[in-house]
Amino acid sequence: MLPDPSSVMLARIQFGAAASFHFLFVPLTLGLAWVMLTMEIAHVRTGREIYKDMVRFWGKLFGINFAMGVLTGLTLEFQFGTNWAYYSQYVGDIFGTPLAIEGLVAFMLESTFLGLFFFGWNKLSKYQHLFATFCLAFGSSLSALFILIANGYMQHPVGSAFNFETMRMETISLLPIFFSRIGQIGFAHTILAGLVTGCVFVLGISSYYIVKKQDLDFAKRSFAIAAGVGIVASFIVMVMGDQNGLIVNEDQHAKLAAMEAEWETQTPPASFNLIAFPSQSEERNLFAIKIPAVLGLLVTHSTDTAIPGIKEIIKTNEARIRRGMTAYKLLVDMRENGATPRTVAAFNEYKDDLGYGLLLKRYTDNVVDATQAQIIKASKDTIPNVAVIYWSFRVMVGFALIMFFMFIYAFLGVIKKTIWEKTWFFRLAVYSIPIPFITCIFGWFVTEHGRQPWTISGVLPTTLSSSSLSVSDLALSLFVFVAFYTALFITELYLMFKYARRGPSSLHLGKYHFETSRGNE
Amino acid sequence: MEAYSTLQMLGWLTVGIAMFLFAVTGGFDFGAGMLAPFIGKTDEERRVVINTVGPTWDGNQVWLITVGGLLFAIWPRVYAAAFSGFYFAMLLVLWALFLRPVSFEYRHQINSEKWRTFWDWALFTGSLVPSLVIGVAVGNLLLGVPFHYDEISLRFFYDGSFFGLFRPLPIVTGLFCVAMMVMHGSAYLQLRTEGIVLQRAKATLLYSSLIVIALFLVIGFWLEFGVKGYLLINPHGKMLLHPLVNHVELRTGGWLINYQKHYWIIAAPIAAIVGAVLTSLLSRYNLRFLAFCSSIISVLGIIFTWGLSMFPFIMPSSSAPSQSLTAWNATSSTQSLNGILLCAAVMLPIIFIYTGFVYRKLWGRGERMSVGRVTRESHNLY
Repeated sequence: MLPDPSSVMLARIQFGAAASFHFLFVPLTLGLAWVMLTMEIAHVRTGREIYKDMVRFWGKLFGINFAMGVLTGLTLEFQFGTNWAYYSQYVGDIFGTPLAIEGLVAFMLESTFLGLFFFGWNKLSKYQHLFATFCLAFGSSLSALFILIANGYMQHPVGSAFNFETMRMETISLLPIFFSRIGQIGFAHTILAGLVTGCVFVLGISSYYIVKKQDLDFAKRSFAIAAGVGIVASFIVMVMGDQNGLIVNEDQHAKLAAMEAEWETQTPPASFNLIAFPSQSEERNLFAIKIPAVLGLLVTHSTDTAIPGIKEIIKTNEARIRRGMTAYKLLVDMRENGATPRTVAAFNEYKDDLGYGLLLKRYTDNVVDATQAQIIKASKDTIPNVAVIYWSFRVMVGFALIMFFMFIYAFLGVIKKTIWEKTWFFRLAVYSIPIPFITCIFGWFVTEHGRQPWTISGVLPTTLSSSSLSVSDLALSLFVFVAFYTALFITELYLMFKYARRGPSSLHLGKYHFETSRGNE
Repeated sequence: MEAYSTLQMLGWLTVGIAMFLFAVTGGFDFGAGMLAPFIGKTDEERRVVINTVGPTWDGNQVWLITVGGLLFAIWPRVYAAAFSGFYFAMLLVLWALFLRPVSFEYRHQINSEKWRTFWDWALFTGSLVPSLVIGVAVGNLLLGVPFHYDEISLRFFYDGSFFGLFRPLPIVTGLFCVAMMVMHGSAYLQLRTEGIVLQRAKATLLYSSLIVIALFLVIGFWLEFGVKGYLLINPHGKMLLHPLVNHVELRTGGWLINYQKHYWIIAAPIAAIVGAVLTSLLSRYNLRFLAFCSSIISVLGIIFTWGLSMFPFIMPSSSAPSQSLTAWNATSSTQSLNGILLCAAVMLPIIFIYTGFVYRKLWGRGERMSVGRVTRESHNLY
């Protein structure tokens, strides 16, 4: 009784689109909040009004973006239940916990202080307002922590076990779930990516004012703060990316092999495919430029650790699928005829591979009667699409490097005071505003698409995870989502452009460009 | 097992408290959102209404998200069944909720009548539709929901249709939910405003509280004489977590049997009625804060009347009553419950403290919204 494959596909498209769309707004919220806090600290320390105006102006853009972040985030919370009901009841025991805690601990803090941030300027002392801004920034980052913990469980499930009576995964211990390495590193990587996004955003829009010669003092100070925070953030984000790679290498072999297009297990240290054209059907790279030893050094930080190649992973997984078939057979027996101590003991021996057995459901509903050919097919399914993952990963890294060099140039220029004549750089900076957003989406794509064919790695295949909905249900809802999101996105961009162009004059303080020189309200 | 059923009870209570907190905080936002286009005839008057909830709507709405998160964590099976079963109803709620953050945040950005009127009605829709549909969903829970599980995989199947949700009782509970939100929104507005808006809010408070009382009684009689309630014959037997093996009996008036077993829980419906009576009465005598408190008590009573009447059922199945979801068979495992309940116990007081701080800073010196203030501080308000 499997959900219709095309309804699973539609549910995946819907989730992928909704999550990507959500992540156009989240990194800016995460990063801009800390940039604003930096500006407000400057205001409190120096007592200068211009820094306060900066917080308020960037806060205005923050608000326009924040509204979209909230509503697109709501979609995801609904979608687990509406489109992925079997997933939700199968792992909700574990996955729901960080989500519930996120609401209570983080999102509540962030949202409650949002109002005070906007409307508290005349009601709070300087330090009280700084505290409100801090709670806003801290709360949004803390949100990301719990979401990344939940996501970490999907990538590498720990601290849980399958219960055949309730037909679900259940928590054994919360500690390993909450302190999972992939969750922690993923969190740091995400927050820093957000910070880079915020800095490129401020850098780019400030550059626009510099090019247009409006509100120069305001723009240069914003530019300098963005450059200073940005150079640190864009460096550490890569360090965290490297750490992330180490963990992926240890816990998620298939994803790493796909990211690097590694078909064969090489004698360590493995060589690095700088450029490759992978072919999934032929299980090799049609073309590759290799650099000896680099991959081994990069992802194991050693010269003697082997990195399993795709072919080896498929072999290992084939064996696990066979064990999974036994697990499934015992499970059905226990549920139909009741459990005996003997079947329970036997099942416990095989149950870690139950998920691999479930991979066969795609090909045969009974699982236990799978043919050799079906087992081979299922074992090849355990490898995500290599070419797509390989190139998405390279897009992310490439853009990250570009932004890093941009920040080095901007920061050194600010220090040496040579940057202010480099009009070409400011033009470039304006056009580079989309880069961090694209980079973030590609990064998530590698993480999430690289986890396929699973929703929970090794535990629950994607094909089983969705709700029992019809294709027309999902097509209709997808259509409405697209319509809504398009209309809202256009509105958001319209306001964003309007106020970004207008600059601090939009605060109606009577002292900025459009209010003084031309005075056209 | 004894300890586990205590945890299950606490889980039930935690969801109930979160729903109550949403209804009393988000409740007045939704109420105000529905009332804004009517209580406010001019842009300034509407801005008065919007700015009473403006600085706090987001924090309040997080209670709704927290209810969702707690359902997911405490009753994963209910979360999965309700969201995928009530598919388009849930999406309707979601799509309507989309309109709220953007209405608040975007309405004041452009000074054009068309633009602002558009967002007024967007906010109205975003406040009305979720209230109505959540009420309709509750009505369906009372009637039983057509669903069943596959015996081996426990895959959930919904056997009904979208339009099947709109039966007479659910429509009445939907309207009741709207009336409750309007009552609570009016009670909040009369606390926070001055002038013409205050006068109108007092009027809507009177009418809406009367409707709340009337519909509450109608639904009560309906449940006693016209609806088959569900009774669990094997209160947490051996297979506590198994959703397929309940012995369930349907009996007219079954939803009110809990009140015969435990007399004290009658306090909930009494609070619902008395609170609603008092709120408009106190407001007439200009005891605005007490009137707001009475409205809170009424909402508290209403939420727990619903919960206690159905206990231990959460989502009864009309197509396979033995597969009904209850507080016993839908709950998470011990370790998860421990974690969430501990977190809730620690966080709730902290949230109350900082939310209290925020409200005191915003409204502490007896501040009120009025047309004059909106005009004066035009650029600093929504």
